[in-house]
Amino acid sequence: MSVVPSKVDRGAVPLLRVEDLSIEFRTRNGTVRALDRLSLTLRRGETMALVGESGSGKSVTAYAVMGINDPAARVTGGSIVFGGLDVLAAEPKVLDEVRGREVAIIFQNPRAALNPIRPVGRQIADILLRHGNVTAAQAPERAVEMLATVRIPDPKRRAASYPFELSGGMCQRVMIALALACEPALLIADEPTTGLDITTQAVIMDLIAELAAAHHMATLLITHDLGLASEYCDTIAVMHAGQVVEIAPTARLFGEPRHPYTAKLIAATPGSRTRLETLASVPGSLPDLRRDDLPACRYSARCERYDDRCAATPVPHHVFGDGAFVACAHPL
Amino acid sequence: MTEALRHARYVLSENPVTTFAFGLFTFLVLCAIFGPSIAPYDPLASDTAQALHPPSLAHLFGTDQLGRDILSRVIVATRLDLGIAVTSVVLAFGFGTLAGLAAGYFGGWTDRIIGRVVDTIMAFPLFVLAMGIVAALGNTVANIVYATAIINLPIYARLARTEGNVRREAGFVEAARLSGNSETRILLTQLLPNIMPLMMVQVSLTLGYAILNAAGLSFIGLGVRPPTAEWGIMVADGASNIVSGEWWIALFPGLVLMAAVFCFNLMGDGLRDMVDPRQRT
Repeated sequence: MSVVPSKVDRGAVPLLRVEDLSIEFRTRNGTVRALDRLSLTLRRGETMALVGESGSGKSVTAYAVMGINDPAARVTGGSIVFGGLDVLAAEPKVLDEVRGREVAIIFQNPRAALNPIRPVGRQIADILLRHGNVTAAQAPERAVEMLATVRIPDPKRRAASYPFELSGGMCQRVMIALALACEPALLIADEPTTGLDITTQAVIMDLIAELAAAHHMATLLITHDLGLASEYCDTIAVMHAGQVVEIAPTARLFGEPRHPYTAKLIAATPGSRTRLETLASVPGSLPDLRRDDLPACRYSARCERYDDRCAATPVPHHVFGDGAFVACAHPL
Repeated sequence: MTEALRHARYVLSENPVTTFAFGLFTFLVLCAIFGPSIAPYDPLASDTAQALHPPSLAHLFGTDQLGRDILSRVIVATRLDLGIAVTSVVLAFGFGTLAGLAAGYFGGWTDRIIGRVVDTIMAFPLFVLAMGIVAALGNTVANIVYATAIINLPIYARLARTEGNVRREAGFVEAARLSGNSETRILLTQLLPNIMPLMMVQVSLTLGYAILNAAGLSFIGLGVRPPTAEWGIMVADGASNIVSGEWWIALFPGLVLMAAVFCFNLMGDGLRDMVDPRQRT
């Protein structure tokens, strides 16, 4: 067994810096401009939520950070630097060392993401062995420990279980154990609680938050649930049609949203005192990202504050002292 | 490992047909291993004084035109027939499955090249192709094995291609990729085990087919040569004697051949259940 030295510097400040990232997908029906000048930074230990409607580019962002390059995808600009490593320029071999070890991902459908015919303990052992953290003799024992860490009752017996023998919540715990097995510096949780019932959802989110804090891990939570994001994250980045429209500390974002879209989203989020009749909705829908004449601000067609200043190209990016950010010609 | 053995025992106890098939298979394997030492007579020793005796206590299956004991010949032939069938199926399974899986998983040129090769093989009537290969390369046991393997290869390649293709975008494959596994590793450790249950059914079916093919080649004189004991040759030897009343020469080897094919085909379900943990309930 050889331990490959880490390819990234976990102490890098910030841990993750995405700058002006633009990605497009070439499809049969035209070019989809999936991400447009996306910038965000994540410090060690920070928890950030990436919030947006379906199709706003949240998952594409996550995949880009993992360095997965779909053959149809083309990076048209920008950079991703993770722990000092230029992800977009890195060799596949280097990325293989980083994935699963320095950055791990939790999917929204845990049952599909687990190998159906391999005991879950073995799957955890596999990844431990892959990244050279343990010897073959220690791996099964470490796998059981990991299952205990994610509070699976009777972990020793459960390690021999197959995914089809476990409930959805249990499978998601196994997924978390898998993701955290090598103690990554960055955890990406792609809608980790979609498809779980509401009580299990809270338990799973608490578990992720707690383990992230314990290991001082940066977390990128991808969700369309603004309520969930506000409960668990320090910072929220709001995405719309492949653009980050606003990034702000959670309290500030809810207190005084600067982007019209954020304000609409917050008004559309149900709380304990909102009534269905008074719940707002965001008018219109996402623009077709295959259009050649996409406006600079992709929200402009849905925006009530639209005027001729909005046609400015590129959309002005305002950065504030606390790291907050808004992309709007005339923010609130 | 003990887990797998326990599961195998469970599968066997669950279905009497499976138990019967595996029992018969074990019996054939034992015959293959110990054949020469348990056969009552020397399978090659001719004794013209004893020629064409019908089944009796001394010769349970009777004797052939040269006075050789048919029971002994049938037992001794097991090793050769089973050996040809198993070896060729192992070859076809190994190469066919890997090639098909790679074609389905990687797609593109890999798929096109492997697909066309497989199509080319399938374009021939398979038994005629096997005849051609043996006729061209020579009448040896190794060539019979190669010929049988080649004609069985497309079945595995096609099946594995489809299954690999279906699963290339599966969640667990993506998860494996995102945890730093190389494509080859994903292919071997994630995809291959997942298609095993299906492939196992095919293995049992092609085992039967392979043994028929080997016997068929020998029957038409293109396989193993006399005086070697082999089921196909023995049936061929006896075929002309059926009309003159010496039915036992062809019947007994034919029956054993049929039993072997039957046994392999019945084993399919059991084999599948053994490699599929989802059957453990």
